[in-house]
Amino acid sequence: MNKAILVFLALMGLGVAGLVVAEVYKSSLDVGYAPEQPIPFSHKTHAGDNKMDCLYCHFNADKSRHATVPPTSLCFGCHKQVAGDRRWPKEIQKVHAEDGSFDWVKVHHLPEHVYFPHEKHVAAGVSCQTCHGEVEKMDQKVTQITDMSMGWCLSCHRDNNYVNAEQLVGSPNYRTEKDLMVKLGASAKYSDIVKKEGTPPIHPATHMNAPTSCSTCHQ
Amino acid sequence: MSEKEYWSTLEEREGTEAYLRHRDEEFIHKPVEDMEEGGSLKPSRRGVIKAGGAAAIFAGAMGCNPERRLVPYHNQPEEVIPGNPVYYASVDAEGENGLVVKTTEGRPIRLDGNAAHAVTRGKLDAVGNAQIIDLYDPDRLRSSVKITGEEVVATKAEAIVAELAPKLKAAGSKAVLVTRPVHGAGNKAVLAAVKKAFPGLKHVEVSTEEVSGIMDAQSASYGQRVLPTFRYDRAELVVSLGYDFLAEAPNRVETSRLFGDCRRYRDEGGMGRVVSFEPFLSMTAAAGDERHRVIPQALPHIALAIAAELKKLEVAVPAGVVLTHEASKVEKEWGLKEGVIHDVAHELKQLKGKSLVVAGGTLAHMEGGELLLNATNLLNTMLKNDGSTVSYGDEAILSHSESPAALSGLIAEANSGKIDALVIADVNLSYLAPAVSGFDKAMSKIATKVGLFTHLNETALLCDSVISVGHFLEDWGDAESRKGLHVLGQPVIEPLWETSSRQQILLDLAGSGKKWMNVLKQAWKTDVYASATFAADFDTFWSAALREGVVDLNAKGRDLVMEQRKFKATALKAKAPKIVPEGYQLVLHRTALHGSGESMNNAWLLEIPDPVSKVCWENYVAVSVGTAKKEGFKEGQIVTLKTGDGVTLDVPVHIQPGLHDKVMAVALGWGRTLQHLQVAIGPSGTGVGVDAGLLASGDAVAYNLAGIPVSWSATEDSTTLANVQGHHYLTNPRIRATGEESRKILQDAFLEEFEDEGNDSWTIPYHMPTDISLWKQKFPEGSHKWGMAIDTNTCTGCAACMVSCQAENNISVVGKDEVIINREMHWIRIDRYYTSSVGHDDPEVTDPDEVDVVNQPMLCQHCDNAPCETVCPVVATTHNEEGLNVQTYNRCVGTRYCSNNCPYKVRHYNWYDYSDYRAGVHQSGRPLTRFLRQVGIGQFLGLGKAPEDKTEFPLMLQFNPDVTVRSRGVMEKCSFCVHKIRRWHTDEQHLGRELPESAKQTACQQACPTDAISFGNLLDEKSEITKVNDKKGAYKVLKELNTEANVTYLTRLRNRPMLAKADDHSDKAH
Repeated sequence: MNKAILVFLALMGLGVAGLVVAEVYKSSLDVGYAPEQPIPFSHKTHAGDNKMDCLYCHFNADKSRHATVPPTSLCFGCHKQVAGDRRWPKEIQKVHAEDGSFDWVKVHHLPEHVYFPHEKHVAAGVSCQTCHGEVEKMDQKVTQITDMSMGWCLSCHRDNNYVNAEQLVGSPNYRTEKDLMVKLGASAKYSDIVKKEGTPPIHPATHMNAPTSCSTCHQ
Repeated sequence: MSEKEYWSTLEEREGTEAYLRHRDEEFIHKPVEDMEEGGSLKPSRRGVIKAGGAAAIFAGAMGCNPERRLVPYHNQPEEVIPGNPVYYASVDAEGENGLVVKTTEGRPIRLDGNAAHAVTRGKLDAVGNAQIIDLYDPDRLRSSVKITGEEVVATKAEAIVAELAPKLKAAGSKAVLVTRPVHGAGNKAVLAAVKKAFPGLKHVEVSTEEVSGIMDAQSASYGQRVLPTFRYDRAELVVSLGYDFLAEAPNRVETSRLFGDCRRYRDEGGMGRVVSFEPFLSMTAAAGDERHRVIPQALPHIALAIAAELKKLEVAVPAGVVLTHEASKVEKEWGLKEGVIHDVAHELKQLKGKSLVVAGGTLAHMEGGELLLNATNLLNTMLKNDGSTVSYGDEAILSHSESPAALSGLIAEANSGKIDALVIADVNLSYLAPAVSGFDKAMSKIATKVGLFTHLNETALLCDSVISVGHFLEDWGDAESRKGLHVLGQPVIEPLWETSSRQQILLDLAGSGKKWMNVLKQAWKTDVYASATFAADFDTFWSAALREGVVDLNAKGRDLVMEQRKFKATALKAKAPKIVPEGYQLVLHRTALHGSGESMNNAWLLEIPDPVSKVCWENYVAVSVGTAKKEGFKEGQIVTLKTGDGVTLDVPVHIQPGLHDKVMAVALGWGRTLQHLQVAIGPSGTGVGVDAGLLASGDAVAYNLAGIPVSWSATEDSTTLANVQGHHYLTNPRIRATGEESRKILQDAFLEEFEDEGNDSWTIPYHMPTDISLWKQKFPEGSHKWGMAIDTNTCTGCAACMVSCQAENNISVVGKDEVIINREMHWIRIDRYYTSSVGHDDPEVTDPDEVDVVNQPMLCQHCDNAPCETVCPVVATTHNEEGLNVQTYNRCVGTRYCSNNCPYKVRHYNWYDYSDYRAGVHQSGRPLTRFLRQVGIGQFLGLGKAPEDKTEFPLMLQFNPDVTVRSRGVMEKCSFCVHKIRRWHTDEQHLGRELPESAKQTACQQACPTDAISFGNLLDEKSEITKVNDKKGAYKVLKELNTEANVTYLTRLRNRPMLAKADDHSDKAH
């Protein structure tokens, strides 16, 4: 065998290894992860069709680091009145009767050395969809749409795209300028957004600097 | 003062090879040595490759993301917001301190002092801070047990109670109940119920604190058996006659606070002065101004000689008191410098009513101790200190507890068969009472013995059955910390095991059928609520009391100056040995960390170095440098001590500057011997330290803890003491052999020169370089720049900051073996420096036993020009926008360059997964062996499975979720509590206004009982930190390195005449 073939094979080997690594890395970031949940809860029905505010159920998102899954009693608060329990599977009725709780499967996960505060992002006017995607259109499974890597976090923090619109976060219709920009392409102008989307855009009145030092997320 | 010499260890002072190596090399112990030294493992090349392969497979397997579950509440409690802490007021087990418990998601993770509590005032000592980990102690009793011989069988508490109640009834007046001091409305109600159910029952209260001596003397001198509060804050001059009150006072948090108030340099100038006469270098004298070394037996004579001298100075003597001592004779006889007693007496007279003479603790537990304490009372009466600096109006809770006489009575009764049934609640008398008291033997004479304990301790094992008692955070509690100061405790977590509270057990025993909570509430209604006028109804009052934790009915009376009491001359009829003894005198003393030995299963406290010697994980016999030279003692050499009674004990030697040459000192509280205490006893079968209580002399009625004649003989063995001083040298002091020039780390001054305008001879002569920096950026970029200031003048070295930091920041315990090789992890340490002046014999040599002490807490200085940042190859340590030097653990690859380049030596490296272990990795095999086991490879190499001593279930529940738990291979250091800073910002955002400065405290600052630490925004001109930084004598450590540190220190001051210092060395070490 001559040298050229050897070099070629070595390069091929490296390339394949690289692809494998890239694939493994991507899978570790979990984009597209959409696990089966213990009960077929539909965000589409609640937030999409019935236009419930995200913060109605995830009511700690503006108070704490964790958005938190709602306590089971909150579900039954409404469902005493609407869509009564007759239609529900037996398991749910059982949990209801026993004052129990569901073991939801966590979709979005950050490593333990990352301290992501929901409250700060809500206060800064970042929409839920910026990170979680259009959950109001997802039916019985929630899918992870962003890779939630550090580079992805920083891409936003470096952009200075903060608006102060706390009161609007949680509305399924709320989008930040950034969300729309992403949807329409980087070259889109503010007026384009207004024209094409028709939703009342949030005027970027208050810009804030997002910190990018390590201690912002690692403590 | 150029003739002053500064050193932190004897090696440093002598400039030995070991010192040079430690000073010059950052990592003395290389990881490769773990392999070479082998121990249980000498890995072959094959083995390592095999392990590597297995590791790769494991690593691959870990790539898959596991399914994670989210389990919400069914009904979310209103006050719980997951991620945000909830605080509850509580009270500690002794009832001395009010607490605030921080809980996250139902787990208590941290204790702080309750600011509303008049004694605690928001502060807490090391032991108080460490109590939180006791809750999660895996060795706690998990159910009640029956003990027959060697056999321990789990049983139900109800069964024991049902069996015990009729027996107690039958025993009638031959039944005894032993408890800790009972106070608080609820506790008293419980006791009343028990006494009603068992009319003949005798109740004995025993305190774990060493206070009975002081109370007995109060009774003899004034006819009032009280434990007075010594008001150091009101005193201009404190004279301690052998009382190490910072370590031995029962109210340590309060004592430290008052001591800090006494010692703090006042804005208008001046400060209090503390003079000690003592046999060994105590924590108190180390933080004081002037000390005189004497043997314990001299103390009563010094007290009486001062009184006689005062009489000469025409101070009125109480009627009937005859003073025969002569100062000059006492000085000569007991080896004091000429004129000392006269000087002290003269000064005391000048400060009549504003001075304080104290004695007590273990040193008053000797032949002549009674006379010492009563003579001290006489002095305070003569000086009109009684009622003002000796405040008896607000007697402490322990005033109710019995003297050892009650205990000896109990033992005598048991021996003569007068006790049929004994219930002993939470007092480990078998360990607390010295062996000479014969407690264990007396126990065997009692037919029915039931214990109420948290652990299977020494006393529990002597009982027939033991009812498991929970931690105080698991149930209701109350206390009356001081007269009228009612404190309420509430359960903050469900009991982890099958335990209940002492009160509930006693109520069940009495057959009351009531719940403890209801009894408590009712007692508060009738005894607290009804005894004063409250505007609110009881339910509102109760809620408020629960929220605040404190109801103070005597707030106005607390600080009153009381009337002088009449001194009874009969108090002085006690005798003291008059002849100066020959040979060595043994002193057994308590320390601030391990007082009564209850901390022996608390790995945090075991790894905190002693405030003076800086040795952890062990006790030792301390001898002076002079004695060591004379007798040829080597550090760590194990010697056999033999007392006059013929008792022997093997103890390692520690050469401790500052002891009297005829004194040997051993700390009490160590050497617990039970196998159930896993930390206290390693796999090698040796406990932690030795039980010095075995050396106490005397008998059940009167036993001595000090002034015990002792001799020694050498053994073949030696050990290495885990001494952390000498691990992090910042100095390059004058080394005589090489003539190296010294670099001064700290600033200390005599008050006289400090107050002398224009005299700056005491300041560090910095040779500042030109202001150059590698960094273009100047910090800060934002609205904040955080800084800290530490007052070394009020720092007592008590280590409260260290434990508080440990709890807040998830700091690992590494174990004795790892400490010995410089691997302790404490983010804040307290460097202890000795200073000595040129001595007497040879003008070139100073006397290493005539030392002053400076405590200098050392932590990350958050330098603007941080040397660590420039050398990190992966940019894992950087500055944030608020001027903090931050460490990013997930970025760190463990090159350790930063630590090498840090001039302050404050970075700590995780050589192993320390956080996985409870008491360090020392317990079974070399660290490498343990690591291989831990990652699951050990079994393939024939090393066995993962060790059993890996962090057991409840311990990890204490972790603070706001701080990353660091893993192996990562550097860590003080973060200035960056997670707290971030939370303050978030809270301020929610509130829409700034938080007050008092709400923004770092963990170390929050705990510091003397308020030595300030922290705040340097950009805010009105902040406390800016004010402190502008004070006279503020300095930065190693300023000449141009690190631009953000931690400032205040100069340590010595309030004693400068000239006295030079004379000091004339003739008193003999």
